[in-house]
Amino acid sequence: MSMVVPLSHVIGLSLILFFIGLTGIFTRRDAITVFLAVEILLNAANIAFIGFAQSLESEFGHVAAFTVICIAAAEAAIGLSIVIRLKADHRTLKLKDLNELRG
Amino acid sequence: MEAIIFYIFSGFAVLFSLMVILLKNPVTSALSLVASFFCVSGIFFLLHASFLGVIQILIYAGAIVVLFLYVLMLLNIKKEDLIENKMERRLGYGGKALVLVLVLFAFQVIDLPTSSTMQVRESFGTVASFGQELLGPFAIVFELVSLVLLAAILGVVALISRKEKG
Amino acid sequence: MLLFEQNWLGAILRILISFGAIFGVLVYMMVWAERKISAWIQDRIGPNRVGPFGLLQGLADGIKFIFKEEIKPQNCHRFLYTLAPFLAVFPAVLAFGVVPFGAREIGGEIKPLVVADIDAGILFTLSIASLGVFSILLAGWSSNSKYPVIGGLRAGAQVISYEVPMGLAVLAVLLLAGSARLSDIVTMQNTHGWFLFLCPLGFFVFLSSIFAETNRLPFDLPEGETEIVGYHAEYSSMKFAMFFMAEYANMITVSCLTVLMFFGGWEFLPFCGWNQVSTFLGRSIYADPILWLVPTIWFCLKVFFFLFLFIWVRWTLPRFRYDQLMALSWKKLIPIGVVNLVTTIILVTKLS
Repeated sequence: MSMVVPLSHVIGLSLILFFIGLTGIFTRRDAITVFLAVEILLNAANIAFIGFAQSLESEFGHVAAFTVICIAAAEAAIGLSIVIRLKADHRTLKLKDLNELRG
Repeated sequence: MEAIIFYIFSGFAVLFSLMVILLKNPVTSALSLVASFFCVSGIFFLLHASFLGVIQILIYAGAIVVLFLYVLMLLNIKKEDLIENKMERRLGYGGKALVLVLVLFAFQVIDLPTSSTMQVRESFGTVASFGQELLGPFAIVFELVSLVLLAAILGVVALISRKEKG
Repeated sequence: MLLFEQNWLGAILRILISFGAIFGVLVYMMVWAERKISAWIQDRIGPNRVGPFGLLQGLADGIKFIFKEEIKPQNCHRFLYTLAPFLAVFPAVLAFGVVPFGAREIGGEIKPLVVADIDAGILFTLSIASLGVFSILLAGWSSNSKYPVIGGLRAGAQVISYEVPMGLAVLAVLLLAGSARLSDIVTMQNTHGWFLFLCPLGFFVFLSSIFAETNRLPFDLPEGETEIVGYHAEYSSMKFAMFFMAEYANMITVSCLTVLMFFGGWEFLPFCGWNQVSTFLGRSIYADPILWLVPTIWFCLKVFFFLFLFIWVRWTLPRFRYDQLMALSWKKLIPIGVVNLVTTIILVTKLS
């Protein structure tokens, strides 16, 4: 089984997705869509792991990507329960209004 | 032939990721995220990581996004305003342009091995091979991840089940 | 033979045959069989006017559905409302891509008749089963009406609750077979006997889970129109029909999986595969140009038995209430699944 595309293309795709996710975090104004952008970031990191794993023919990249997926699941669970708690206590999810720690 | 499919999948993945951050309705954002995960899973299959491709659909698309959708629907979250005033809209678009320039710059800087004649062994990325690696040299990672998941379950219970005051 | 080639033409041919077989023939025959067998169980005749034995009744129903007026709710999310029925059909057909129907001996090695013999076959079917939740949630939510939303969330909760026992049963089979590839699982059942006898608890858990996953009685509270408002209350005509076509396609896929995992797939009898039959008869069944279809026909007969079981149970057992349904999954099937897993682990370590 041979490599389908050169490694630089895979890493380029990972970079593009990473920057899209980063833009999402900076631009979106409510908690849940920021979470979705974080998932895009983690996905981009996974693509980079898998690309390097194929290039170096080492399964470590697969183990790392698997760990990232499991941690993302745990983070999504906790993050969404925080969101539910925020909505219950503060009635809003706009990040602009959640500023109790400021000043 | 597989290279064309890789570029098609990656193009769709980028398109769906852009839709995630550009659409106003959070539910359609979550759905384009699912579509993006599908494309990325196809890319994983093309990169000879069949177990990870299946796990990506099983956990990401099948569990995490379902959790997102449940929270969105139970909290009845409607369309949110994306950007509120003109100054922030200009900042947002300027930020995206800056990002694009950075990405193109990164393409020039990367100097990775581009040999496409490299072969991987037939059993690369299979379930058995992945299992031997995960439970062999990286068994401690496996145990730690299970601890993290346990902590997540306990954290969810601690955050959500609170006694109502009054 | 072109059908078994691992190149693009062979793959496209297999995809066309499997897609055409499911949607052209099998779903249509399932609709007819459901109405006829339900009628016989209830001591009546069933459709017998349109065509011989009522075989064209499905065609007549389809034409009726096409001509019916489509009523859309106000202020519904147009795109998601139209997408949800197609999203229901998509996982059912996708999971059919890894199901092997039979085998053929080409050039000395036995090749399975499957669209894509991927290495993590069973896990792929589990992941596709998880995708069935999306159509339910979206159908409920996009109708923009209170009762379908709650109905959609309830039905979605049912489906994701029963994925866990299903996964546990599949895990036990994976341990017994030593491989996640579906054709390997069938081959291992040749030497070790059917997995039905090696993990009967797992079979019981899996059977209950697939009844709940396909929203089939006794677990069909989400679609019991007489009792509770379901998630497809705001759908009419063609989209409504697509939900039920998706349910039948899901039933077929899940019956194929049960046969593959617990009943030996296309192999003849528990300890007597077609290879032994070939040596008994003196001619090789897998290599024969005509007889190689016999294992496939045998597999289809087993699948038909399970589809008959689906229809039979529908008119035998009463419907579960929702809290009974959830309690059954979390409090009863998951412990039984874990016990099954532990006994399978002990069995596997003792046997090897």
